[in-house]
Amino acid sequence: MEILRAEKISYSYRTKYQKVDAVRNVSCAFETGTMYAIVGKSGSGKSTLLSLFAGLDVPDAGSIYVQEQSIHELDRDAYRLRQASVVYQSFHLFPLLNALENVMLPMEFQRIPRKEARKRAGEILHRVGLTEQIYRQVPRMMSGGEQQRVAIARAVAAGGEIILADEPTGNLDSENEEKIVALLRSLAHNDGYTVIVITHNPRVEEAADHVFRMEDGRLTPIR
Amino acid sequence: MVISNSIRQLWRMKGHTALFLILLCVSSGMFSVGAGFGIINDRNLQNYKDSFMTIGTVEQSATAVQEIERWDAETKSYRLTTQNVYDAYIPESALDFEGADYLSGPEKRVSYTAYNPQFKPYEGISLEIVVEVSPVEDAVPDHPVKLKITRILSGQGLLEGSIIDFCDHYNPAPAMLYQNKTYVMSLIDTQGHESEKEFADDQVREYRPAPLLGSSQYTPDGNRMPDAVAEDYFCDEVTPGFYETKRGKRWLHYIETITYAESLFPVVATNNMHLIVPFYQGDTYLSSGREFSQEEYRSGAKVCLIPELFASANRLAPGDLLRLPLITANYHKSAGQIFYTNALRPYSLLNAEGEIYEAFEDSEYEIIGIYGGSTGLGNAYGMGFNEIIIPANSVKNSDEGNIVDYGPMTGSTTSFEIANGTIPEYMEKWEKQGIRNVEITFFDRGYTRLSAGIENMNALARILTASGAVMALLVLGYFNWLFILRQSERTAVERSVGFTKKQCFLSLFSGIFLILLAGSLTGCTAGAVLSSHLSSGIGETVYYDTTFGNSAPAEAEEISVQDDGFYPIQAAAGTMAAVLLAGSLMAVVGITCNLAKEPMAMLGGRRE
Repeated sequence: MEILRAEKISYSYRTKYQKVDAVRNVSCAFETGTMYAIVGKSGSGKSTLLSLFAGLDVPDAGSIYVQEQSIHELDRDAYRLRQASVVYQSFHLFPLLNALENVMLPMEFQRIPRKEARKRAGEILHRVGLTEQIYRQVPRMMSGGEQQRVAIARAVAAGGEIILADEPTGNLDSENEEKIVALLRSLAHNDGYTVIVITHNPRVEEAADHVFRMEDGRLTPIR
Repeated sequence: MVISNSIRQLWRMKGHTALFLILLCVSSGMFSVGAGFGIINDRNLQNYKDSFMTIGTVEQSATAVQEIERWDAETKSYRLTTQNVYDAYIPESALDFEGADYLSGPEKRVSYTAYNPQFKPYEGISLEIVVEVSPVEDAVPDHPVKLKITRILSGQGLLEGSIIDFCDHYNPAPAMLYQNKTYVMSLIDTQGHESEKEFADDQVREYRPAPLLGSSQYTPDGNRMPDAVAEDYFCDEVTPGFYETKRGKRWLHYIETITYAESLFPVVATNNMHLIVPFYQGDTYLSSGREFSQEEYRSGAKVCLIPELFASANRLAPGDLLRLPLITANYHKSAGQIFYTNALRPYSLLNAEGEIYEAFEDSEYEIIGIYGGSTGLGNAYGMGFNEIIIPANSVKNSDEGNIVDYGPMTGSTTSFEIANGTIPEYMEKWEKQGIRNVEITFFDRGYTRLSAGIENMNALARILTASGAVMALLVLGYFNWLFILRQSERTAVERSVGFTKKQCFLSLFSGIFLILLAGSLTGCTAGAVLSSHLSSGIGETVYYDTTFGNSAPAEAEEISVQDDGFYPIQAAAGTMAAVLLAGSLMAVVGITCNLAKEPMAMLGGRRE
């Protein structure tokens, strides 16, 4: 089932020295229960495209549709809170909150009672393969792989349908890299998430159901 | 939720948060103490300004000192005395220079003399006598000679026919007195011819001349008016029909004025009774009734203040009327110098024509106040006996025909009031006038020293305020960087998780605002308590002395400056508001900067 669609979207921004056409006339569609990989060279516009999918920016031209509703008409904050979650290469957990609190935060913002949020957070952390010893640890006490799992757990906890991951394995060793790829794939295939991953990692590219290449702001399906 | 999450995150930074809180408390406290202390000092200074008064007395110094020889019949030699010589009298208008911001004056007070026979405070106690005498034998009175009293024209204590010893004590060449002639003389009783035997049993009681037959009348511009009768004249030969002559009539007028002494009292006209030094110093004070109002000064209302002694002797009270026929005006000496004791007729009451001065102003004054304290101290600054105070403008008529003495400005007659703390500025401007031979003495009750102390404390308060404010700004700046600008990533994550911008704002602002509130409230409250405590030590009762600005100290007096605690609280509230405002503004700017950054650009570490 299609959940996210881009129609001829373009986006440009201005740096100190020049105007950059980061996304050019991109059209694509994403379905639930599928893992997508977007590959391309640095500076090709991958992250910009992801921020457009996350509703952090809006296209200059064209539109993105989330379940047939234009992103221009959406409450994009609510969209990120309830439908689309972002996972970063550098994890970007709240450094002063422990693992459990990081995962509970989106639920608390959805006004889920604290007790229930705590229970669900524990379940999700367990689901992503973390033990209870980790729950009370703040990010600086965790390994990179553990932090990334907490980040994915936080994305899952929001209860949305779309996980947008920007180089999620970029800072991980090969063992953790493998586990995270497996987790993302499992979330797509077993839990029905639409997982869109920006990556340079061939292992991720291999694990994805569909692969796009981004080049000079243009997106081309390659698999 | 947002706020509790914000507090939770701050709580996880206990060390930084506690440090921020402590530094904010200290800096806010310093800021508050300085501001509170400064406000209290300013208020105290203002209170002192209102309570204190700075007056200047003016004295023209002599151009030269002249030696005067005075014959002494006892030692048969001249004694030397000195007399000040002035080239010209400098008028008080010389003090009206540009930039002299007087609150009152300058005024050269005139000492009027009122004659009202209705009041006889000194009845029958005049020491002066006027008698007709015949020498027992021809004699030159360069030593005590015997005179027989043939007629008593004025005076008490002598009988006609009695013999007295007379010596023209101060005249180096007295004229011969003939046995077969009758002389009219103005005499005064002294203890004896020989000063060293003054109180010995065998001392001869001696009468000496009382030379007040001549006039001492002056013109309004200060020149002595010529009189046919010499100043030291005391004696005339009585021939048949003598009292019909002009000279004889003068004697009769003169005799009449002797009785005036029983009913003379000084009247001083002023535009500000506190310019009169005894009132200024508090040696003399209002014991009942009230002072003159500004309107009474301005309009010249017929109102007066009288001394307690005069009031009780004549059963006068506030509200009574007192007739004051002013017969003479003295432009030289203060009432305290002229009427330094009772029963005085200090100068001739005859004008240059030998006539008795007539009242140039005769009005009824309402007594509005009675003053007590020391009077008749016998010094220049003391009050005269029975001195009555009236508003200067109440004397409507000219006294130009009744001036009995004229002299330079003296400290006891000439004074002015300036604002407290302006002595240096005044003197700087005065010295530019280039007027020599005028000495100004300031009396400020110690205000200059007290205000200097307060200024020092104010400097300390300013340093505290400035350093507290700077420290607060630095603390706020540093923690704004730590808690907000360095948290831009947190904002970006919050945005990407789905926080609205408003929630992101609240997430950072609420926590920091709570610390701001707690820190500034604690610090400023402590500051208020401390500044109140500091000020209570100096503010509740301030002792000040009545020190002449550059003269000898008098007894300490006190004024109360109560601290009701309002000003420290006001300062604390102000400083707290300033700290909160500055901190909040910094936070708002910082958070706005954070929100302006694109989350993906920050979190992705690059823009692809």
